[in-house]
Amino acid sequence: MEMNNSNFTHLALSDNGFLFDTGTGLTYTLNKVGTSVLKGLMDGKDAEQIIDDTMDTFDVSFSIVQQDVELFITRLKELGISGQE
Amino acid sequence: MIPKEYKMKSYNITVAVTGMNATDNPGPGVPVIRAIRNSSEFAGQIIGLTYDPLDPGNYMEGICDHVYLFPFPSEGAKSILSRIREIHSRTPIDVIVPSLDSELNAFIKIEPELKAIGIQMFLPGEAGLKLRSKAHFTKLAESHDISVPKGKTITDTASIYRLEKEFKFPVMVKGQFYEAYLANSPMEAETLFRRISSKWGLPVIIQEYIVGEEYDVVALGDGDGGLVGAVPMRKMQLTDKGKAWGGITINNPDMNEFVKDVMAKLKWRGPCELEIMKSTLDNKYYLIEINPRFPAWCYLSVGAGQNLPWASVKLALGEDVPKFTEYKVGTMFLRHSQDMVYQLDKYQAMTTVGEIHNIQTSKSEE
Repeated sequence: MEMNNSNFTHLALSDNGFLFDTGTGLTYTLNKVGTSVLKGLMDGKDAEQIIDDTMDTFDVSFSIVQQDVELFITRLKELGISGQE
Repeated sequence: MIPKEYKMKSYNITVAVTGMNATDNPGPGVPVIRAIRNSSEFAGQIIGLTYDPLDPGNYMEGICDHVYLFPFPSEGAKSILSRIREIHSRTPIDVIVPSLDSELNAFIKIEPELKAIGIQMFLPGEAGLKLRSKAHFTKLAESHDISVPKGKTITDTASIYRLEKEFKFPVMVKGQFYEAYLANSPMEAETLFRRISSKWGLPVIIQEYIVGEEYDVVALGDGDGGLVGAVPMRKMQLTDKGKAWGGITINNPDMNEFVKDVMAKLKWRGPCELEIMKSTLDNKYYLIEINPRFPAWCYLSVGAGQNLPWASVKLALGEDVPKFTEYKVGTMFLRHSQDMVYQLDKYQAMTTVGEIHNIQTSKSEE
């Protein structure tokens, strides 16, 4: 799944998972995995790298991480957070 | 190190401000005064011009130095001018910051007389004020190429039942000065028409309902098409009247451009609050309303780094004010209410003499 990190320049994400969308003023709270995935996206990593990083950090299988990361990215798009509604 | 002789410029002036009410739909007077006092350049005194002895801003500590009872705008410009002359003879005024929509016509009318006695203001002209009036607002698309929702003014209930030919329900029903409600059907629109017209008079405005996200911007225009400053925010919590009870500054470059463009096209002079919708249907920005004064949440602009009320005072004095180019994104405000306790003497003075001075709360009153 392709994501451009320029789509995330309007986001401010803190280490504890508090997300502020500076464009809309909306705020969100992410869990540890969500925070880690979004940080990866904001750093310009692709889905594959993010899946690898997540598997390194959390004790979980490839198939579950792959599914969760894809769902998470889809949700970001649905919410307009990725800048791609 | 700055040499001692380089002192910051200080303005020992007297500024009079209206809009001292502080209900759940508060007037902008108290926040405008807080902003002025917040400036390290301000070293003068503040006069509160109040319509009601029960306006809480009259008595709040650290807000006004003097408060004078003031005639309602409905009493006319002459009556307002006469009261200002009277107050001016007692406590000379340098600048007036009118804060309520309903009083602006009168203040604009008496601007030359006030200037003649040394009182300055920084307001839109009569033509500018007319343009933003809700009755003329809908024509801005044609006259100024500004994106506004389709609208119509109506003066009778019979027109409501013909609306379905031109508008798709729901529509917004708005008073010419205040209040706006969503009507889902012509019957609902009729009820709202009656309620609004009995309170704010005719005409009543019908406006296309834009589905989307609402944003509010406090802005200050220089009158030549330039933008002195602007701070956009998203409301985070609302009162039951839809008024902001909390908000956060945002950074949306497209919307900021839209604001700049609107202010340039209108050549707006003075403060205003722009209400903007971003349509979810076409992703376009629509100007919903221009309120020709500071909003009650204008103190947020100070927190975000743009003290727009103080800038407007300096502009009124004819000073050059550098344009603000930045503001802090993610600055929040949360409003709160608090019971203030006072002894009867000040209220007594307001109701009988129509003025109070040296306002401060003694420990025994707290």
